Amino acid sequence: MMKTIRWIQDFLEYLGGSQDEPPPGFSITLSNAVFWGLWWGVLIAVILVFSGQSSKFIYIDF
Amino acid sequence: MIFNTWDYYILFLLPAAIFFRLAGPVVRPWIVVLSGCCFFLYFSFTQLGGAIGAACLLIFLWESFVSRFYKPASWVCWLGVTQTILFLVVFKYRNFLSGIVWPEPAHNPLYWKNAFLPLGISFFTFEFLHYAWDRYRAKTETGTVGEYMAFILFFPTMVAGPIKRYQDFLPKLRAVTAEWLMDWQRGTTRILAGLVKKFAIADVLTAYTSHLNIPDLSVANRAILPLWLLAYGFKIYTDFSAYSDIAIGSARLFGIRVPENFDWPYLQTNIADFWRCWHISLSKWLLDYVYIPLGGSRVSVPRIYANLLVTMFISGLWHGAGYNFIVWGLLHGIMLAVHRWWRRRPGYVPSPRPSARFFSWLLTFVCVSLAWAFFCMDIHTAIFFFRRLLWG
Amino acid sequence: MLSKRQFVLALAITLAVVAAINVVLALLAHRTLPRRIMRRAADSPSAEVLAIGNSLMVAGFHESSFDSAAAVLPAHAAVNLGLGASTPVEQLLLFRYAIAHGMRPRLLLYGFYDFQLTDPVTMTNADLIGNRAILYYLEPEYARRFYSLPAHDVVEFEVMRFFPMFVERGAVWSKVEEFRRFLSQQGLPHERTNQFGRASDFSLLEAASSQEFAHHCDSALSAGLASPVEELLRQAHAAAIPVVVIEMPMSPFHRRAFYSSPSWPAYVSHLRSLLAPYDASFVDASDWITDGSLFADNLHLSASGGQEFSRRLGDLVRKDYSSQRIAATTNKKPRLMRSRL
Repeated sequence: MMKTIRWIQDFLEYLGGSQDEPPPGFSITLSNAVFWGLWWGVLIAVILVFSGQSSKFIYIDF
Repeated sequence: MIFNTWDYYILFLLPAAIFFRLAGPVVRPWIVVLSGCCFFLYFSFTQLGGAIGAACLLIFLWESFVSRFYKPASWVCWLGVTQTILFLVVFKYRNFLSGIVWPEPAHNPLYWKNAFLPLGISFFTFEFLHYAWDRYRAKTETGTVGEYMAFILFFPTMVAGPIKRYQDFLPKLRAVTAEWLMDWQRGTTRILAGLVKKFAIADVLTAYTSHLNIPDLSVANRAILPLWLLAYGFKIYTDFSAYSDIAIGSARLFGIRVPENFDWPYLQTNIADFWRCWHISLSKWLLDYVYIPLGGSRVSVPRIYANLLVTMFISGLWHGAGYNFIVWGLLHGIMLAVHRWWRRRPGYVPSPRPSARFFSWLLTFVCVSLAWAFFCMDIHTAIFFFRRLLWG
Repeated sequence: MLSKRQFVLALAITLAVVAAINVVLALLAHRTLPRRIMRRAADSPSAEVLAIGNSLMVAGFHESSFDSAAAVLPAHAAVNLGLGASTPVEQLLLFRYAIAHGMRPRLLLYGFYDFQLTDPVTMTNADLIGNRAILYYLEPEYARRFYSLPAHDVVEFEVMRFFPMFVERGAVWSKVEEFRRFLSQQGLPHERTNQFGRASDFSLLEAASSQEFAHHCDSALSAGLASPVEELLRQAHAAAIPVVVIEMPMSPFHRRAFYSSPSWPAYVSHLRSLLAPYDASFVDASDWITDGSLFADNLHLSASGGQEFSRRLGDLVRKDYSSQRIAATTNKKPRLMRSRL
């Protein structure tokens, strides 16, 4: 259980840019351009969707 | 917030990081200085305090001048420490401290009506203090004036940390990593991940945390109150760790690695480990410049507990000029003291059983979560929250 | 070890993903409210009564109730091009769009409240979300003459308007905002909402106090019409389209709090004088609906309130804007009213 949690932490840190090395058993390295290109695209899409500030909204009829 | 503006990335981060990489070692610190000055002026003027806020850049310039006279065991270092504390008192604590004597602003002769905080004051003052103190103890070299100015004006960490150490920063400034592609890959990923954490998690949780006020607490269903407090605990973690991610990622674009600031604090199984993993740069600063100078753990047991309380009192006060922050800090001081006592009971042996680890984790998590009530609400509102939670 | 080629390829793939997002948003953009309003305008060339304004007009003007009361022929039914959260700039653009697509209204109904007709329109790029996104794509250069943007925002505007992900960001954000509001409501008494959002939020569009409102009235006495309003009236006048400027029904709370001050009638009198050169009529409908239950919030009529207002407005149009008057103005064969006139 602790090993699994540790692996998940390492995996998330790798995906999040904190760690330079992938966790054991995860074969996608930093040189995998397709993976990282798509991952950055996903992150940008999420940022686009969630970056609206609540304070901007009085009307929400659109 | 600065990290969610186009200006930060297009006007400051990308140009500065690129020029920094292209420049030679002599010019590099001055690129950081110039970009940091422009950053401070621009965001102070547009977001904090206008022209007067921008004029606070003089604080950095004055500090750079005075720092040239710091020598081991010199009284000038004490002057540096004193003036930095004065900056904090004047800008951050003036109204709070004078309000202790004159509670009513209208009758408070020292009340500063249009008080503002210079950009990043809570962080840069701690870097000033660290440098003055470590120069006094001969624990760090002087460096050139450009290098010291680069240290204090390094804009990725100026606004929200991590709080850097000059001894760590200087070698990295002098010998930037050659693997710039790796740095840009990791730095970009870190920045994007930080922004996702901020927008997709922290800001969504605001839907709950915005209700931590008496009018909403009065009418809310009691069952929702624990969820609101839990949401606050996760919101503040994702919010602050997101800022750290963006700061660390931004610094990585320069090829400079700054210290990590969070290491899964909510997974820790005791309060001491929590503080080793939560706002790590601040915890280390408090350890090195408050707890250890007070005697640390090398004094009598009652003094140790007192040192813990004082250290966490300062931690609370650093987070905000208010009684609720002091209460929050002291609560954590008490928790640390209790943890220390528990660990040092005669015959104590940590249990290897998973259930014991789980219970420790749960207890730590619940205590930290409950303490957040005093961080996010004033004392009166926090007490009202607990009354509603426990007695309806 | 990462190579330059791999890094650049990753960037290129990211850009491709972002481009795909923009394509998808461009395809979905036709569903947004401003574009639906524009389609409505283009599909109604035979409408003879055109209603424009902001959300007060959206909520208050019921086409069918108006048509019945005004005896408008179905083939020339009134069309409501009111747009929520819009300023006079967007209202001018929609008027121009309708005219450009063949509409030749015999009457233009222009609803307003408080100081909309005289307050200058100032915005930042951050304000151009939701329905105001129309400013990015409907005659953007023309529209810029009528509102001010800070210099820094002008640059942002000029970059953002070419990318659907920025133009339609408000429509995307609104879905998340609806989710946040859903979460926010858990464990709390249900809060009143209407078609535009939370009812309580619209008090933010009112003055903070009666004193502030009175002060605004007094300072507006020296103001002229806002430039987009002036331009709209000028273009309508040049096209021989009679304009009726309507002070929209306001809730009893709003009238008590703000319109009971002597400063308000003085301002309204000033407003009438500003409208005179354009032959625009003025209708004070602010006290037409006295029952507070017919309002969805402090500003907007409910569905029932809108029907009542529209019927009364239709009656007024039928009586005061008869076929003879319109024929005299336009020299065209009137088709607005039924043959009984």
